Amino acid sequence: MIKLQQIEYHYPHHPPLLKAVDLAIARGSLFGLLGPNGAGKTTLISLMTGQLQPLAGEILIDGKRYPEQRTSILEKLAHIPQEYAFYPQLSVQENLQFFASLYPGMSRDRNQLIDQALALTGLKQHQDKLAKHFSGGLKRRLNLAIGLLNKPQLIFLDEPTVGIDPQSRHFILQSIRELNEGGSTIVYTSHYMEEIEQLCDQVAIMDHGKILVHGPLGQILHQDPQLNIELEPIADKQRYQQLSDSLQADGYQLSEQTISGQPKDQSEVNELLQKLASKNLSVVNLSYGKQTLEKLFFELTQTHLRD
Amino acid sequence: MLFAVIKKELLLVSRDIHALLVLFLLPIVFILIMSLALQDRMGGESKERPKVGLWMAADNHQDGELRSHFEQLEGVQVVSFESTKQLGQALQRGEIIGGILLPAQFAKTLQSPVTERSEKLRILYAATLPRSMRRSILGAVRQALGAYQVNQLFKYDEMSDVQRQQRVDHLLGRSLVVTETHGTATQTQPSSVQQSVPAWLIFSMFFVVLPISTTLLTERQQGTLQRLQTLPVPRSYLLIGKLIPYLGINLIQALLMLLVGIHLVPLLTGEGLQLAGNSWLLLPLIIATSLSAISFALLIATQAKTTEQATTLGGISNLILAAIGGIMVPTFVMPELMQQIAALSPMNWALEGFFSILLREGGWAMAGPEILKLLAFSGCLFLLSIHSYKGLTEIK
Repeated sequence: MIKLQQIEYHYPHHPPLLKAVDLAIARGSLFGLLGPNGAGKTTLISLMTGQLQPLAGEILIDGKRYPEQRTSILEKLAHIPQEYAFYPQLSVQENLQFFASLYPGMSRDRNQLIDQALALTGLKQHQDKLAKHFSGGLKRRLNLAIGLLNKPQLIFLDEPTVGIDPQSRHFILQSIRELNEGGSTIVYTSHYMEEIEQLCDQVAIMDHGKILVHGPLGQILHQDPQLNIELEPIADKQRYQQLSDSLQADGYQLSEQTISGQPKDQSEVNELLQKLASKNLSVVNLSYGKQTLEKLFFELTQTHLRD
Repeated sequence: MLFAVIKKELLLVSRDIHALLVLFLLPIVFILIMSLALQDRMGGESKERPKVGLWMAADNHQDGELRSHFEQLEGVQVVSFESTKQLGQALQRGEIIGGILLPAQFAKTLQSPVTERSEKLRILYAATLPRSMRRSILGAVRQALGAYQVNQLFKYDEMSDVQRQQRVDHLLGRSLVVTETHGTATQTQPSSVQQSVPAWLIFSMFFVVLPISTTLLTERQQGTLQRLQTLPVPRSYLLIGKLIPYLGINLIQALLMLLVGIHLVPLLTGEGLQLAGNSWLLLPLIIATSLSAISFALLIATQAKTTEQATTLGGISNLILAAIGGIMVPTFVMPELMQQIAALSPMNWALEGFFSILLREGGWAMAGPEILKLLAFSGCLFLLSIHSYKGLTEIK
């Protein structure tokens, strides 16, 4: 469905933002795109939705290219931004009528499509109300409804559950599942890791303009339990290297101060801890269990604050 | 506590570049423009006096005294022309504010007894020249005639009292001067309403910058613009879609203001706006003015990053274009340099177009160039707007 090859991009007078990005998103998948602020997610989506042109590389959407086949691509694509991208001074119906009228091929069954979008987002009883009077949840639903007007095969959803109550959030997540089950490919960005874990079958984590990990969610999170041991810093480089070599021989990795690996059982964990104690190494933190997306995210992107 | 509040307010205002521009730069710019524009009208010795054309029929040239009096008219700079046609053209181009025509035999008329001859001096006024300026020219002409005639008076002796009085009246030129407005078939003179309706109509049309920029920047800030740019519709359509409604709004503005000038103002002042024979030309002129105003507004809206920036920039630009363009101060009272600067303002092109149609009763030949200039201006600005509209999503 979407294929990105060696995409490069930077804003004028700014350093490179996307560096040789390769990404493939299969038709019908519910794809989670994760990354800290400034990682390049929004730019990547702007490129995939034709708002920006890459400086190098190629983007194929269903085998079609921007800008030559822009109209054809956009007819079957929807971008639902994080902001309330509609006119608050207009009613729900007026907003839907306006956005629907911008799709050239929709003039005949426009009203039917508007009704379907209203039904899917539960806005039927609010259709004559001005959007400016809506709560955050209703505004999010209207934002979603506008994106569904063209029955899109490919939907980009940018943090659609920010700032709303649990009921609205549940409703929106349920609607997204239904859309995906109906055959739409969905690219979903969110900072809520548990949402991505619940919803998505494919995930990519990006930072500093690069895709760090990409693939099916189960594969990325590992099926086997994961051990992570955080040590106090080791100042002596020789000692650090000896430890790293020794751990590697046992099937573990040492990255900065963190040892990670997949022990077979509890006794193997105990053995490792004894080995560390014998080398006078202090353990700061230890976790053992199934990998979560949040853990993986912090492992890959670190915990320091971003601008 | 109070100090903290005061300090906070000072910090806020010192970091608000738009407020500082309005508070400090705008008055400075206005002081400069208005001082320059009004330097010939208000107080002080004028360096540049308004130019008045002079044409004398060949036989009048032989009277050196008459020529000398008219070449040194009070308060104006006299420019001699060799033909009435050349003088008329200069008047039409706005190079002179009036013209004085001394017909053949005029010198003899002045020297002859009362009833013998009737050749009259003609004064031509520019259509946009206000009454006060007309009176000044008329006064200068009468003064010149008076001075010439008084010299002649001593040449006539034995007369009765009645003859003498008639002679004095004659010598003062009361029966010898006729005035008319250049380029008008009727004797219609420009009134305050004929000056002010076009000027403030143009000014108000350019204020579409406020709603246009507010709408566009709200779209941008709310993400609606981002959504619109991912719809299968050409970006130029999105801008044309903004242009057409505001064109309609400008047309309604124009209709309303013209109706006010024609019907409401006479109820208050007794003098209303009069539409001349070529009034149909007002429609293309208003459309061209509107397109210029909207394109200008779109360019500002697509360049600005915040609503405050757009409204400040738009408001200040409009005020400056109006100040230099003859909206606030008529161009004929400006010195030559300011008049040249005025010709750079699209508001001035529009105003000249209105004056050509309403006051000079001009046709396409007179109003057409102004309309074409406005259309070219709007075309260029609209293309630039489309270009910067495309780049809007890149500004994060």
